[in-house]
Amino acid sequence: MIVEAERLNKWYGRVIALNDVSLSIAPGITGLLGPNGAGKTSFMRIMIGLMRESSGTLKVLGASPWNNPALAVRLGYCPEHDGFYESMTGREFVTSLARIRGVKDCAAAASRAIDWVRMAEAADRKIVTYSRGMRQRIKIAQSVVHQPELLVLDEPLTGSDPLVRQELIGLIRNFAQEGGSVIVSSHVLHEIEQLTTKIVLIHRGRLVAEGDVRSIRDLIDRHPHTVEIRAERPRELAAALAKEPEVVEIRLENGSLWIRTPQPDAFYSKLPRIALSAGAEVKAISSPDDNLEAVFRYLTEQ
Amino acid sequence: MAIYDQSYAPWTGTYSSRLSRIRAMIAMELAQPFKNLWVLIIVLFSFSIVGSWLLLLFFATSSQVIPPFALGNRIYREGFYNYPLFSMILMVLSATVGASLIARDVRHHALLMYFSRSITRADYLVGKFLSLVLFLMIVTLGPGLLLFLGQLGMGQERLSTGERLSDLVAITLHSLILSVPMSAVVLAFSSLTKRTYLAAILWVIFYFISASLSPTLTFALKAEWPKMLSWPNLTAHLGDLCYSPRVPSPPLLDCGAWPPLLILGSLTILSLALVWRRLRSTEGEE
Amino acid sequence: MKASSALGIAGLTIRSLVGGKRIWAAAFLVLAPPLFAGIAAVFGKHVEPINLFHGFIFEFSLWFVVYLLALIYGIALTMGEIEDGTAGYLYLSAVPKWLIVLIQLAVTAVALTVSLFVNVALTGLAASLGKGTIPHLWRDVFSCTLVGSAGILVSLGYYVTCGLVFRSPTSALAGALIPTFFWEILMTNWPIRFAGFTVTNNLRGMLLPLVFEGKRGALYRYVRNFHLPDYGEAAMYLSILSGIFLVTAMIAAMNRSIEGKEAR
Repeated sequence: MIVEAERLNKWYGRVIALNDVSLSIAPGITGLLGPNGAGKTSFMRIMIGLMRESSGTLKVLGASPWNNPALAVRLGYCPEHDGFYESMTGREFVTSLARIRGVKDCAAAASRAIDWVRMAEAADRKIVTYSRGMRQRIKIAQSVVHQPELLVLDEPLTGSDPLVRQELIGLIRNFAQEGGSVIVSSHVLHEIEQLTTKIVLIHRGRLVAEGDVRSIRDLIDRHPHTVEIRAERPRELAAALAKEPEVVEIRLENGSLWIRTPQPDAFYSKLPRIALSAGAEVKAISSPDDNLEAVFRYLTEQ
Repeated sequence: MAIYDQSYAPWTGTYSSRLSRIRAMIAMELAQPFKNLWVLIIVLFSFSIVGSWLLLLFFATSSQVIPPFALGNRIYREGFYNYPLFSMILMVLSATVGASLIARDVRHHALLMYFSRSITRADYLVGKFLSLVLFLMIVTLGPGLLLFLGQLGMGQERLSTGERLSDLVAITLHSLILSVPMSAVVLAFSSLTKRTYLAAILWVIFYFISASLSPTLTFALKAEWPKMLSWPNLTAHLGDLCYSPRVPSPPLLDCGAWPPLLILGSLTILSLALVWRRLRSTEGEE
Repeated sequence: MKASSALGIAGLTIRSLVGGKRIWAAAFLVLAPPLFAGIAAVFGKHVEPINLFHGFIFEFSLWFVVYLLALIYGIALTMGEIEDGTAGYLYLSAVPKWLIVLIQLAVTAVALTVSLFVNVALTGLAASLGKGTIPHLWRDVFSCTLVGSAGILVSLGYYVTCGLVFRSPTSALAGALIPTFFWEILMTNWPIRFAGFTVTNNLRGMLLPLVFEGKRGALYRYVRNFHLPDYGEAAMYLSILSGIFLVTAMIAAMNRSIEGKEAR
């Protein structure tokens, strides 16, 4: 196991960031999922030794990360928020950080890392002139320049446009394929799904679930869904839907039909036939529950 | 795409006045410093100077002796406003509180947020300036009024209502003289950088260059005019002139009111002009 | 590996010393006294260069320039990293945190000592503009720099400690300014025993035998303390202080958590 946490707690005054978290993370790519304020960043910062836990233990690559420079050089970290020596060029930034991490041939290592993130053309420009995507790539370059064993990425895809997102996802996959381990955090499930099948769910500082992403998907599908349908002749449609076993509740409100179903997949597959037979033209369908937040609500209410 | 919900309607009611918007900004800024423990400690410290004077007055009154510091309005001038410790307190307070007023907004790109609302640059400037002036007035006028009340109750001098009132007006004017130019200059430094501590240090440098250069040049050149380079001397001299000369004391500077008034007035106007210019250029950068 | 990492940190420190608007404030601090001294020397009547030079050293360089240079860079070394978001990178290096602080302090102290030397030397040269040379100028310049460097070490150590101990820049600034401007200035103006425990008076005590040949002349009339520490006492006091601040800074660095914006 590359990360082992045992009853880990972290609080800031009266705010509990991590609450009795015990987990193990195996090598490979692991996604750390949770809404904003869940405790992902706090967990990551403790993992790389920037913060100390309030109680409990955390071991990364078999050692405690706090005040452990020997371990720190085996880890790579890409923070969520931008932090740069703005007057430096990208190359100078990566080279300087390579040097302080004890890399032997800093210039060559920096060039390799910059080429790897496809920033060679812009590397000699000042960071202050970079776009968001370029800054993100240079941050990733500094995190891999010393060839770490474990890469910790805090919301690397947030705020990036779709093209940059795909590029970054490719880079992360390449890193893992070359033998490194990655822990990447996000609050968007489908981003993590493109990277890995192993995820850890954190909500309000507590470990809510860990395992395969497919089982989380099943949870989304299994937990009761609310569906809003706007249709012509809603009453006829409601009458037709009421006969179906997948429908447990129907409400007509402000011209919309609100359906509650514990089997959304089955419901969606039947809906077109039912609407056709009721002669009701469906104008719009939406579901406020088809997201991770709803899963968290479901899991924490269990 | 069909739009179904037509229930949203933009606001068609009345809007509050510009004055209330400025008031809202002032209220927001005035609340901030008091959340910091160090600022609270320094504010309390400034009141404690007055507290100790009130204690001394109480004992002096009890022993039926008129101490010299309680004669006339010397207690306000020499005992409090012109006291070196108080100047230091004011300088440190304005550095810790005032330095972040604009620097913080520039750092967090908040200027766009302000100016995307119905707040003009003038409103912003007035709001920030007045909030700092009011904060400094709390620390200058507040203790001054306490001291005035103490004198009223325990002072042994028999003074007419007119003389008391003139003391009250003098205290208010003295507080304004201490607060207004200092607020303008600190605000100017705050607008120059996005780092709060650097703005504070720039103000401290300015203050101490003026305070240290004056005696150095006075000593080296054996002249009196360098005394006018000292910020504490300027404010103290101008403040002294606000009081009626019931008990004469030698003036700090060898000049009337106009030179220090011109110097401090010019500094205030130049500082506010600098802030105005910085607001325009920073907005463009954003 | 550690030596190159340490050099890397020294390089980053030097870069941050000369970057940004701080350098302009520092340059102003270093160059303003010589400028004013030059103006006074050229336009002043009855000006004695040696009095002008010593006056500027006494009133400006040896406490004002020393403290404010240390304040600018001391707070910036620690708080600047947090505000920039670069603290995380630094603490993920191959160098332990206490050594990072030590390196930063050492590099900054050397740089500030060089700045002080420039300030004092230029002041001496400016004070003698058009009026002949000041006797023993370079002896006095080196002596003042030596004494000033002790002040730089102590004050830098204290300000860096404030930056490491306090969470926010406002608190760090208040923690830095209060002892400097209340304790130092007040105590040095009052004729009481505690005045012997101020850095300013200890620097003056060190300066007296080196520059003023042990004679408390006109400038020392500002020193309202009947017992000024002698050179040995002052050196010991300042050494102890700088040692205390250095150790405290290193311990604070070891225990420093970079908690990020989410903790505010």
